[in-house]
Amino acid sequence: MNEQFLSIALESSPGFIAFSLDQNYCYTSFTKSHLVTMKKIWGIDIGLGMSLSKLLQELNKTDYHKAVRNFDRALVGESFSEVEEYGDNLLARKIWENRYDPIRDNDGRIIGIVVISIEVSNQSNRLQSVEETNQRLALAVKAANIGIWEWNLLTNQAIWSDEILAIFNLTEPSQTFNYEQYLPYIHPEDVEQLQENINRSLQTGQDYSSEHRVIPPDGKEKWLSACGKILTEQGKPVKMIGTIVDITGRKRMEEEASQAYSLLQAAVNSTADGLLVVNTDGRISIYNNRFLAIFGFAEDEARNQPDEVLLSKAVSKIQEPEKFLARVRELYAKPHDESNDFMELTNGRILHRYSKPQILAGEVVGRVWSFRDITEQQRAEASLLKSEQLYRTLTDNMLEFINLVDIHGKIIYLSPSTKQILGENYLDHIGTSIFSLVHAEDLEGALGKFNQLIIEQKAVKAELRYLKESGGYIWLETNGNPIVNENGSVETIVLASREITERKRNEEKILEQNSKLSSIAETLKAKNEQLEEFTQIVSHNLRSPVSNILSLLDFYEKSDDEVEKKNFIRMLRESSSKMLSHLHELNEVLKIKQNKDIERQWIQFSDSLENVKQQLSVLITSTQAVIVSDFTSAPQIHYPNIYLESILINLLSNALKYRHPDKTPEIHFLTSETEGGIQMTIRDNGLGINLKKYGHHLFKLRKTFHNHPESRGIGLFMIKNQIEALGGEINIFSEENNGTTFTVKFGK
Amino acid sequence: MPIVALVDDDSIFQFTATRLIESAKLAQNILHFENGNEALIYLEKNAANTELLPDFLFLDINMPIVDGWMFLEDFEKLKTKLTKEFPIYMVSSSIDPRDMNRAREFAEVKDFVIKPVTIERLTELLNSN
Repeated sequence: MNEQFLSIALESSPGFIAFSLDQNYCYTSFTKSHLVTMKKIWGIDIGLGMSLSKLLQELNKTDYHKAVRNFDRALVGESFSEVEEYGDNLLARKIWENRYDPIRDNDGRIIGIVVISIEVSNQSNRLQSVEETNQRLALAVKAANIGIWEWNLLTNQAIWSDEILAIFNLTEPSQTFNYEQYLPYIHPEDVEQLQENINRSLQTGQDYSSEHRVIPPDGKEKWLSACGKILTEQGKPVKMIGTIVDITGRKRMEEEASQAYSLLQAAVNSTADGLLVVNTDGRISIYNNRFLAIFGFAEDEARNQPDEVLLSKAVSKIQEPEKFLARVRELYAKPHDESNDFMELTNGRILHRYSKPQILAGEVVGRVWSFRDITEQQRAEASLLKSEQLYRTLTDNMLEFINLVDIHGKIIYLSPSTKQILGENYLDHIGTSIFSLVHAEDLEGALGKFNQLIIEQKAVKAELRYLKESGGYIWLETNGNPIVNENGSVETIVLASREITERKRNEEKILEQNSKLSSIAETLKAKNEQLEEFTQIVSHNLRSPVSNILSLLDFYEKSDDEVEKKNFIRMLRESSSKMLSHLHELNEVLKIKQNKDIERQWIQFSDSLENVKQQLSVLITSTQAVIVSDFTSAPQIHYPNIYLESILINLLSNALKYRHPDKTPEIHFLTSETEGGIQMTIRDNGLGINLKKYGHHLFKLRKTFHNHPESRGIGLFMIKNQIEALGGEINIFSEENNGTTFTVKFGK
Repeated sequence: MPIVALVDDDSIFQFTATRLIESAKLAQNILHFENGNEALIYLEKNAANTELLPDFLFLDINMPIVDGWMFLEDFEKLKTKLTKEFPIYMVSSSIDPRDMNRAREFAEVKDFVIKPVTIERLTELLNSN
């Protein structure tokens, strides 16, 4: 009955808990309040026979050790009370006053324990609110991922919350985990600072705080922010509690932000444009040195100016400030607009102004202004335009024909002067190939020059005929000049041409005149050679007997011997007749040269040869010569009779004179019709002539090549003159001892 | 007394020249050649016989077969074989300056003599050494 009452009393007492365990820490009984509390705190359902130590071992190592220690004290017979904390985590723990008593059997042996707990944290409102605060704090700490630590300075034991364990990637909290064991995890570079901070805090009692890097067992470096507070008892530090937060992410962001900022700084200052960023409230957030330079500020001056002064000063440097300000107001009314235009400064510089809103999270927070000084560019463009206009005017007004073609010869531009060649609609040729205008005969040359120009990138010159719109051709001298682009290849070609038709015509005339002159010169040269020959004849052939005559006359005068005198007279006669014969020969030669247009008549070769044979009959008979003739191919010729006879008589008498002493002379006459007219060959079997040695003298006057009494050296010279005077020629083929063959081409 | 060679196809010149040389007793012996070829054959044959080679050679320009110029060309080649050196006098009725200039091109040609040749000129030439 007592037991039951007790039981009911216990069950109905709020905050009163009791349970009993056997020697193996297994439940032998428990109050309903214990069941509820265990469920509430740990979320487990307990039952009789279940091992409490096992349950706690799985739930909380710290609590397990503490509880088992207490149970063991009671199991050895001690009865005691402890005010203790138990709970599922550091901040949800509750404070209990626990009474431990051994249970003995009738023999007094200890068979279990009984534990009676009263939750003292629930006993006052103050404690209640502390717990609530604690719970809220616990939530916050959990949410913020803040680790909590507690360091007992007396026992040098430390407790880490799960968050800290997570930071170090550790699963089991070590009971003996303390300050010394923590140190190896600290980044070597940060150890000293950390120790210093902690020591200072211990010595002065001030709060401790530190940001340091740690290297957990997994090796991934982390940044931690730690702070702690010293708790004292009777003025002596006994405990240090604090927090640890992983700030690795924040540190990285800070670093990235600082990198991004330095990049922005560098970019802003390295650009050639002046930059100014103004907040929506009119404050300047950024400007660069270039901006200052463009608006003529000194750096120091700008730094010390309030924003509104700087801006108004800048505005004062603008040529038309009202217009600019109007534009600014307009932009502020439409903050999302971009603006892109030009402005002029009072110092004459021209700026390209570009403005764009600065947007942060979709909100316009300011406006970026960039100013580019384009004065030089504008000037260059202006002067380029001017020079282009100048050249355009020049080409448009030039008499020369200017055109511009691409590298395929396609016409891009034609100067108005081209009208003269291509007619009123000359512009229709733009886009067509220039080569379609070139004369077919000049096309190959033109293409060759064009390719040379493109490959060598050098100016070329060509004289070409171009098709005229009105028909016919015009001669142009064309100069091609390549225009090379920035890649180093020819882009376009300027062709400048001028008419040279007149010059070409003159050139042709000159060429014609030249060829006439050279033929005249040839004739003159031949005449001159003949004259020289005459000089030679006069010099040699006439002077020779005269000098003999003079010598002989001298002898004659000095001689008294009649016989001798008679001999001199004979020699004088001989010399005189020689001179006469020379004069006669000269006369004949002159006659030939003068009688170019001597009368021609139709002559039968056979008749003429018969006449000649009669004239030379004595010689023919005495030499027993055999004369063979074949005139069937060309029996007759239109030629001066006396010339033909002269030719035949000379060649026949030559053949007879220079007969071979051991052979019966045989002389063949043969005529034939050839392209160049009638030809006659005279072949003998006589002595022949060494042509290598004498060939060049052969047809000269008074040249003989045989030591022969009858050789006078006049014949061949004569007939050569006769034949050539009528447009023919005579040639010789001969070998010593093997006869001679003369070929006479009579000409047309 | 020197040996004189006359190379000329003109028999009357051969006669008059010989007579002048003999009358003035200017030579020990006179060699007669009708053209350059005959002279070349003689010189080649007697190249080693110094006593048979001439001391002076009178050379006509216009001759049949081998004329004066042709003789000079061949003589250049023959010269080294000869055991005697002698001067050559060109003798011609030519008064053509081109002939005279051409004659100067040959080192062997010591002088150019225009016909008719006088006794004084002959004496002068044959006494010069």
